[in-house]
Amino acid sequence: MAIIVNLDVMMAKRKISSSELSEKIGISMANLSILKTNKGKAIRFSTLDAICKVLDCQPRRYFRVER
Amino acid sequence: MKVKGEKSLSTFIELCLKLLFVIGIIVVLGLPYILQKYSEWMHPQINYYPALAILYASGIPALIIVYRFIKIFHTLGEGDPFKIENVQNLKVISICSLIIMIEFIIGIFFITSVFAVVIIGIFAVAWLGAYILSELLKEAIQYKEENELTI
Repeated sequence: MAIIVNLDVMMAKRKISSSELSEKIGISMANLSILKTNKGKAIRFSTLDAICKVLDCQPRRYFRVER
Repeated sequence: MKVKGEKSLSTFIELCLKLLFVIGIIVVLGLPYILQKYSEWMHPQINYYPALAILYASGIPALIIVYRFIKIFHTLGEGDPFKIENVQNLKVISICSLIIMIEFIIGIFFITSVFAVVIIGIFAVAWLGAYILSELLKEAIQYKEENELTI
């Protein structure tokens, strides 16, 4: 798949740790790790919404499409 | 009643199957003697050597079927039956059922008994059933993986 998740860049900018983020979004550390390491197959809108609220920016910040 | 996990219905069935497996091994090993006694007492028109060959050739696949079922119920007892090995186990069960069915279609000429017909019917159903279930399980595993990787 050519979708790259750039979540860690945004997390570094906001200076938030994985454990803190996972707690605020309400998903487990394991699942957040799957998302960050590009192993995930899909993301729920509810999860995306939560990430955007916690990190306070738009979804386009998190994904890059490789061509 | 719990269906899967520890101390559930599947661990109980696993235990029963293990017992059945041991009994099956004893029966297969003692087959020449048992068949001799059987043909002496009950069924004089039985054709000894062909019948023995058929029973051996179907007894061993039957043991393989029981062994594979033990494996499947073991994964159920562990709590996660959605494993790719179980697809393989069900495929082996379906092939063994097919072998037994074909052997009894040949064997019906040597073992003239109603039970031979019943066995053909049962293993025809088991063959197709196990094959369909293995394909279903394969799809279920794909859906499960997809679902688990949706975050």
